[in-house]
Amino acid sequence: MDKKVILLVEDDPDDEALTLRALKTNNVRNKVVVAQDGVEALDYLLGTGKHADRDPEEMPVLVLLDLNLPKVDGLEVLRRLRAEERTSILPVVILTSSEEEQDLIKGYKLGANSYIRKPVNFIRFAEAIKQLGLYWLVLNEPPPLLGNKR
Amino acid sequence: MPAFRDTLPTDLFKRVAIICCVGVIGFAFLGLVSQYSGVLVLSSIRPNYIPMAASTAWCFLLLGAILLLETLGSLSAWARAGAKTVTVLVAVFGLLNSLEPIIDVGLSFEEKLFPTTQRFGEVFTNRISPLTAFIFFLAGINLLLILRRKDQTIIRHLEGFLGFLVTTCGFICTMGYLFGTPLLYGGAVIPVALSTAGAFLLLGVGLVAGAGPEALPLQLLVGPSTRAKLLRVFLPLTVGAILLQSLLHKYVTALFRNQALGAAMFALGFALITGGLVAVVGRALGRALERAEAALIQAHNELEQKVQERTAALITANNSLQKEIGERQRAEKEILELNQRLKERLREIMEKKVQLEAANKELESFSYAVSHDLRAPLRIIDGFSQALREDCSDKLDSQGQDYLMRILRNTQRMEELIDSLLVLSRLTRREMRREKVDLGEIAQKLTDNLRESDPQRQVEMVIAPGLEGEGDPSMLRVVLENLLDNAWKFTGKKAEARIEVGALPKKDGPRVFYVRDNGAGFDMAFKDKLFGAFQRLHGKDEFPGNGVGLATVQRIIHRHGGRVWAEGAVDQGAVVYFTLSPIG
Repeated sequence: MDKKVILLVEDDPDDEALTLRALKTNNVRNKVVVAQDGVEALDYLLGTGKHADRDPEEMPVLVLLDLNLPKVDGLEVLRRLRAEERTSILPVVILTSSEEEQDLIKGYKLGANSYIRKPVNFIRFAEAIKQLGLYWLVLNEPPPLLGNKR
Repeated sequence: MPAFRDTLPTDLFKRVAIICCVGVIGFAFLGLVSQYSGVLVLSSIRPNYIPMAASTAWCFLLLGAILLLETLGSLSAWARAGAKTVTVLVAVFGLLNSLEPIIDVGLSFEEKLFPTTQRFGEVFTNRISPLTAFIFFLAGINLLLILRRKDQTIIRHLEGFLGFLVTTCGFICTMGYLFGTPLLYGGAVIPVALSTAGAFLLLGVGLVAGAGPEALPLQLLVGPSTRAKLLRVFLPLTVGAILLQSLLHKYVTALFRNQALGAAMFALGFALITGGLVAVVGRALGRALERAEAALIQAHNELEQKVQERTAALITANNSLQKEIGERQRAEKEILELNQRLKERLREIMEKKVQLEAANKELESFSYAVSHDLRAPLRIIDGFSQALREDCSDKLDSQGQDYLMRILRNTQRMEELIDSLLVLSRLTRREMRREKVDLGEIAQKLTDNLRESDPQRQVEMVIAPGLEGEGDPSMLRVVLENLLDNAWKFTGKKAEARIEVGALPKKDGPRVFYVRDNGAGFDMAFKDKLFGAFQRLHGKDEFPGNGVGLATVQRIIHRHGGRVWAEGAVDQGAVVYFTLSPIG
């Protein structure tokens, strides 16, 4: 279970701290890797840039993707991930404060597996994180690894 | 003077013809009586003149009678045929007898009909003169033409001409007698009797009259033309004067012993008479001409006046036409200018619309960004406050706990506000539909919801029937939801709460709907603040709310092009009125 890494793409450190706390209080003990912008997230997942030395075999079990990101925004990250074969079926959950209809439509069209709007109320937010962890990390069977092994 | 009359009695010629015929018949009787009684002087007039021959008298009788009957119009078809035959016989008889002395073939059967032994000089008294016979031939042809009744101009002229010829012959013969010149009445052969000459004179005139005024020579004398008028006066006058002069000269000079004196006296007298006559006629003529000229001048003046009047009228009409044209041109120009201005206005409006759309879009993205970006820090505040409460509650005393609770409460309020703002901004962005909406039905559903959510409340709800409007169903639902929520809320402290949804009686213009309650009401002094966003007229602890509800209502009504306004009084309740299309 520890090997199952969660990638949290979040630029706001306060949001990051709250999300990590919510995961912790809900007993999600997986390793959480944080990427603070879209470029870093792509580097991590595709093994490029500053994550070029990372073992690409080691795919996160879940990506929690914010949409409003510096450099490359969330939807663009999603589009590039789906374009790569290895990450094309990687479970990606959009976790955002946006409830714009257009964002929902684009997110799902680009292949998001789920779309969660962060509630302002922390109690509800924590509850959402709890459900999320339970579903994606326990109930859901992750997809097999795709692509050439180097 | 009758000669100057413009018109002649229509039956004048007929009457003349009848009188002449009667005269001819009279002469014929005279001739017959003289021949058969032997009193020859009856037709010879003077013993030394030749009497009328019996055949001549018969011919006159026949031709005169036929012309009379024809003129009276009393000839039947058969009688006409008979008359024609008789006329032909007379003409043939005339022709044969006129040819007798030339070819001497004894064609004449006159001797058998009228045997005679009496002589007048060298000729038999009861023999027709060849001259007379020839004139009968002409008269017979003339009468035959009249009897044929062919209404051809040339024939009519021929009739008139032959009649004139007969008249002239009779006249010449008569003159011969008057001047004592036998040569003129056929003295060389058998002479024409004086009575015969007179009868021919009458017959000729009758034939000319019978030919009618349209035929020559009468045509020259008849009618209103000056030529005819002058001819009517001067022809008889000159002919009469000359004849009279020659006759008088013959007889008057004989009365004087001194022939030169006689001639001089006669000339003087005749000159006086002629001069007097000419003076009288000239005066009459002059008057007539002056009258005609005066009439002409008057007619000319009248015409001139009429022309001037017409010209004046024409000028007036022209002026008014010019004026009208000017006005039209002015109006046209005005229309063009108006059109131009309208186009400019339209362009301005289009520009404004584009600007407005841009501004709206900007506002949208702004309000979206604001509500979106406001939410993020709010979540952080709420999240860490919560974390503080959960993780560090042991380090906080009751006061600290209370502060924390206040922070949490306000973050929650802030969230609600942001949500309301989002709803409001979405309303402006969404496409609007227009269809028939039953406001009463929506109000009923909303009322049911309210009763369900707050079952303890006793509220009398009155929803008028037939509340049909036209608009966007979901937007109108939001309108009624806000209004009913407010009414429900503000009647919360009333023992007998009453909420009414209805419409004002129909008048001109769009329907006015309303939601009325008997709740807390409001001070009319603040009625302008009612519809502004975040404006509240009541304390939070009194009635909860964020002040966006009526702003939302107003936004929706304005998007429909309608108007919304409110009336109320403190503790007397409030009414919110709205329309779904522009007033006026």
